[in-house]
Amino acid sequence: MARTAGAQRRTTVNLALDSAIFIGFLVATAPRFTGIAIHEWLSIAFGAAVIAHLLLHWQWIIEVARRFFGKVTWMSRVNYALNSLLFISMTIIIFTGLMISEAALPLFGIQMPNDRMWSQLHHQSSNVTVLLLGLHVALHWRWIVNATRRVLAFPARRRVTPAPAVLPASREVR
Amino acid sequence: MRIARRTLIVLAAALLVVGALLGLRQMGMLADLANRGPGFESGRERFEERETRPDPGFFAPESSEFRERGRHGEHGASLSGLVEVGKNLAIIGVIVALGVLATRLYGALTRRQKATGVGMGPPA
Repeated sequence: MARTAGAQRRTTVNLALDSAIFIGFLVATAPRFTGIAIHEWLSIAFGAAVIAHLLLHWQWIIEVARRFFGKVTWMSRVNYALNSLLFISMTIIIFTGLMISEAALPLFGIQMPNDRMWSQLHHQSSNVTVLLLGLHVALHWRWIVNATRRVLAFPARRRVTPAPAVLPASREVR
Repeated sequence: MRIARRTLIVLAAALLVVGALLGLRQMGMLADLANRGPGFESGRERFEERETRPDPGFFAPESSEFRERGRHGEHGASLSGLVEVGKNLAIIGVIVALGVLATRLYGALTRRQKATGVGMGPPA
């Protein structure tokens, strides 16, 4: 029972963080919508959220890295390669974003030189990341659907489960 | 302590990527990126494109409009930017749909192959 509750909590945390990262990414890739200051600060926070996401999945990262050329499923290999590319592209987005920063770094008195190349690289890596993120979500779609069902169903079921003495044993709560 | 160590490992990996990027830049291998055309983030890139025109007019990097709009294209928030969010969401949606479809087809194909193999069985 405690194990189930622990797994449920972990699923809820993972799903909440992943949803926040996904929505954060969508909003951060639209600087015209947020304005440049929010775009930059949101992207910096996004970097921290990605680190938290990696820490939550640390065991999987280490296990697949150890067995990448050994006994591991083909799907895990594809997943690992895709996630590595996603990490690289996100690092490039955040770094190039800092290099063309107009709101976040100037706040600390740091003025970056105007270099068009960083700006172009920033846009192109964000385009690539949208594609990679789509593939990442597609590969985890089954987990997303199952976890959402579980998270949405679990509190409701717990709430309506009556004490054994109240209802006859034959009656089940679905 | 363990979390701090793992965070440092992630940051070190990110530093490796940044180091490689700076190295590529030093070697001039990123220079051609500046001359590429726009992708599907058309709003910002259209601005960049206009900036690179031979006769940039009021979009010259030193012009007042450039300073006003900045290197990202826009400084202020606008609801019209929701189009960008919708566009990226649509792209991700299409990729997810295709990916899920491909995975299901692959699964069905594998199951059918297995079923066929089991059904045949060894000769009596």
